[in-house]
Amino acid sequence: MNYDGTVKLKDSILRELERELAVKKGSLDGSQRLKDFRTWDSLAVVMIISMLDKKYHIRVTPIEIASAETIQDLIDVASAKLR
Amino acid sequence: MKYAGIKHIEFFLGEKEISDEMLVKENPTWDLTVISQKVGIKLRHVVNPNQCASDLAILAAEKLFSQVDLNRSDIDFILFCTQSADYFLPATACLIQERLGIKSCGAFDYNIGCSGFVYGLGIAKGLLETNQANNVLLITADTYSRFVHPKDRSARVLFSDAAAVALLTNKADKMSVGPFAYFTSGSGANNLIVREGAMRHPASTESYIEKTDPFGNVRTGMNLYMNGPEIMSFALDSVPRIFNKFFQSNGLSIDEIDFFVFHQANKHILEELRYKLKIHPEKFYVSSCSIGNTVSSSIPIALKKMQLEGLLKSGDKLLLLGFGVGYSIGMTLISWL
Repeated sequence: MNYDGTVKLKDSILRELERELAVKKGSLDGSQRLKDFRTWDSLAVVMIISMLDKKYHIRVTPIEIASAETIQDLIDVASAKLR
Repeated sequence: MKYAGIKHIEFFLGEKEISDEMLVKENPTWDLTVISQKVGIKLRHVVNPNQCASDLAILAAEKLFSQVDLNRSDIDFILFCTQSADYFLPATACLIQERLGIKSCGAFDYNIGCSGFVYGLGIAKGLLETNQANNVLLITADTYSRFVHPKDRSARVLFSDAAAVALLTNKADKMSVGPFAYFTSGSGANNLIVREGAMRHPASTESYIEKTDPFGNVRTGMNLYMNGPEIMSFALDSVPRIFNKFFQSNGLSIDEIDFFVFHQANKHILEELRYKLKIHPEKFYVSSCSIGNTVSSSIPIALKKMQLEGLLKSGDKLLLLGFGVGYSIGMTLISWL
């Protein structure tokens, strides 16, 4: 996947997480720890899985998402599947 | 030859209603505004603490007998699908036969969950079309609320208790139920499970120790555990594969189907599957937000609702697909009689 694709994916994940975590648009940059959000729950995981499947046709497993400490970790897991 | 067909359906929901507001009042830290919108469930129906799935089954069956022109002595088979049996033994179907005042007939339980109605149609078809029975009562009933910990938000927002009963007879002139496809993957057993209390892990004092998961849901070993993300992954992977194979191997096209009635798990998962399977929204039934996930009864309840809403006409082809706990999938085609 080229640079543009990765940037687009990162943007999609950040926007989806902003909705799921109920935080202000543009407030996430990837460095935040997922577990620090009270709104980070199993439904948010489901929404991330669905969004990546629908928009990018990639499948990230719940175990891979659970292993992500920060939002950037999650972006890295998904980006690796694009390649 | 005469063929099996569904003659009548009735259902009965748990009588206690649980709204979002009631859940939040009980658990002030829960914010359900977004959740209930996504899952499409705002009202659940649960049984009282001592009420069983069989009690709901009796209420649904009595409703059916009051609506159909059939002597209950003509019932010659009861199929009872439940994961909330009255006892380890005997089969709850035997208790139902007695309580309904049905003369001696075949009766047994089977345990499968969300795909249970389709499995039951498969068994009923076998019984009816080989003249082992003329009138089959296919009853589905589950009371998951009795497994769910009150502080397990992930399961509590979803599930409702209900029973549905379908009367199947062998009077149809052409094939009205079938073909079928079944799929099982026990590799997913641990993702939707009540782990303790049966033979593998009998109840002990440790079975009642509360544990909190990383998302703040509380459960004991005696409670229902549901790994939503894993179930979602299973559905996204397996349902399209089985669905497409069914259409290919039976030489069918999606355009031939009048309605698609899937297990009503929740709005989000249904919408994802509909999109992936390229089904037109007008042909894809999604229950209202006041029913909840009723496990084995969700498909027959959806059919009855569709009938009451005037959506169905005689001869309509309906594709039924149940998926979930097991993992298990069952799908079939029915013609509305």
